Amino acid sequence: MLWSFALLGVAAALAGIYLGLVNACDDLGRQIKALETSRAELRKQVVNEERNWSMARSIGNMERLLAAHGIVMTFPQERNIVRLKAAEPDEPAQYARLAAPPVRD
Amino acid sequence: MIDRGYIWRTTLVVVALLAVWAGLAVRLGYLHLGANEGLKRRVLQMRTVEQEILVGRGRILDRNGQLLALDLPVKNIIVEPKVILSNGQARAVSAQLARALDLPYDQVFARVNKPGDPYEPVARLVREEVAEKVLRLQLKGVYPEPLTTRYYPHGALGCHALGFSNAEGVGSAGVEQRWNAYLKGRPGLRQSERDGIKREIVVRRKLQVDPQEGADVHLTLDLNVQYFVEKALDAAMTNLQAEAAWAIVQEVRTGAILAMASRPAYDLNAYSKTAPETRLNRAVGVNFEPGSIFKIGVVAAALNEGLVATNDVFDCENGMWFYAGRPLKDFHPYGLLDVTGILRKSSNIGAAKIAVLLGDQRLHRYLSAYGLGRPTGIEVPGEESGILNPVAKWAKIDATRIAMGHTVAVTALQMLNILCCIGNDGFLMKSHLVRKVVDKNGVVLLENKPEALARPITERTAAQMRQMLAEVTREGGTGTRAAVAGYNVAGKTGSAEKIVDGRYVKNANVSSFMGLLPAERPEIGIIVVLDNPTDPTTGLRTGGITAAPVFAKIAEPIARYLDVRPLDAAEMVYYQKILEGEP
Repeated sequence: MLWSFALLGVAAALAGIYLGLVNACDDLGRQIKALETSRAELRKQVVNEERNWSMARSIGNMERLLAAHGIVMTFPQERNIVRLKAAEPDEPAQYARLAAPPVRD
Repeated sequence: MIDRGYIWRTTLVVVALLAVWAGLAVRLGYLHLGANEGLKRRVLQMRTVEQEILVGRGRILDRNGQLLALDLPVKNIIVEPKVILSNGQARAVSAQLARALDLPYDQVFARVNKPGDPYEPVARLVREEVAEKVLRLQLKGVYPEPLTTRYYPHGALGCHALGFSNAEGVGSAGVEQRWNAYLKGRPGLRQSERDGIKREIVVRRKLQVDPQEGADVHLTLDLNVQYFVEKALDAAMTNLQAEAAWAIVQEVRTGAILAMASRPAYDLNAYSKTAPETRLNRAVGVNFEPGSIFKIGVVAAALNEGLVATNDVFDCENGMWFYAGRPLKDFHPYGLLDVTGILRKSSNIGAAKIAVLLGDQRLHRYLSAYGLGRPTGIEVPGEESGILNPVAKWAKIDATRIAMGHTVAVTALQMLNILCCIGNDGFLMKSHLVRKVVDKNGVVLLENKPEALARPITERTAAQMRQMLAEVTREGGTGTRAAVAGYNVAGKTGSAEKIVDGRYVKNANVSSFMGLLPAERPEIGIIVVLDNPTDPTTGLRTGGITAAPVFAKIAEPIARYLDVRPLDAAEMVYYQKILEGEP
């Protein structure tokens, strides 16, 4: 009789553990699903913000905004630019020499 | 004492209940343990869900990381007229929606006022912010429907180079088409189970193949340079009444394309409403007789062969010369001109005589070395090869006509490549529009490095050519209107009569200008081509009058924006040494 109760107790404990594990798994599943949804939403937001940022810093948009506020801006003329350079003139980068031998010279 | 009948009835009920339970238990056992393959399959089918995980196309970005094309989550705003009308709210809802969506009231009301209609899109592809605004109104019978669409934030800017992807997400023009394999990505797959209300049971996922998102294509285009070019072309189309216009800006040293534009243009977000001819990328997809800009190739060849020197003098026959029994005319009559003068004044006769000196074989060899008669391989579809007939097919006068850019056809890109070859110490670089392709994990799948294709002319010839071409934009040259303050511009004007019904016509031409900036140590090369323009003040159509000012309008802001530095005295000495033949 005692053995029967003990067996029943063990079976009940195992069943309890099993149900607990199932619940924990379900919980994790729900969390995964929620995170996946949240990630998709965040991606959408990122894309939207990237798009807005890209639009905001395009020259076309800046010109529109400047015109809307009556501001006139131009690129500096060469005479307005202060340049600091080495004493020796730089030789221009010749990528062609680095990349491949010339076909004919 | 208990009534016997009561006992019987109770027993009967208990037995009946036990029988029912036993039956259910047997049935349950049978269903679970018995051979019910068909039934089990049906249940499994109902529970199992196989889902394709869709991915967006990769993005297209300019050289500074500015977005040019992306998959954007948007919403359609849907109304349920059946619901709204049954509530008697049609006018109130229409008014609120019209305000939120910035649409005319009548247009919205026409959509809402459709009795019996359960579904009516009132606005398509609206941005998330606008959809949020509509949601906040809490209107019954109005809801946003989410979807993703290919979006081009800058509308028509760079439309011909970028191209578009169609409603099925397949690239159908420009970079979108040519790079579709990288951009499209690969959808994933998920096999899982769902519960009674069709929610996925995540713990029962059997298979999850993650999607491979489309890779990002980084272009060499600079959005701001593209903007300057298109602004100038738009002005040219309006002011000069041109039928079409196209232009390319290229980095001389690398062959990277900074801008590629054609007019007429179209909004990439509404490509389906555009005529196919408007979508033509004229910069690479139109062959045209180049006219006088072609003289640079012929003169450079003769210089390179040592057949002429820059100060050799040619008799330009006062504007009329007969060769092989056929007359050849100059736009203005000239007597004696040196080689520099031939380029500065754009004498057809002078150039023709230089071509005769070169001979057919040598001329053809140089033109082939410049890459004419074959596509450049630029990474957009629809590129033309130009037309360069084999020498065997040349008539006796052909060399003299080719010297002035007739009986030969080129694309604008091929022509610009010849000029950039002169700008790049004689190295012909491979033009490219794509800088790199990067996947979503940041792995570089492909990277285009500067690539030299050939060296048709020497460094000295190139320097001499640049020096002569700089005269074109100075006082007395044909391209003075292309001058840019603070820089020497080496360039060449071109005007070619158009062929209509197989004959050259006087009142229709293709005008062009191409130039290098700064002339001594070029950093950028620009070509501008105008189809049948007319200067409104002079009525003239030549490249010097029409295309040269457009060049200046493009070059000036670009030089400032890219900070192209004019040469100082020490650098001028360095380049003078090259001209004098000192390596």
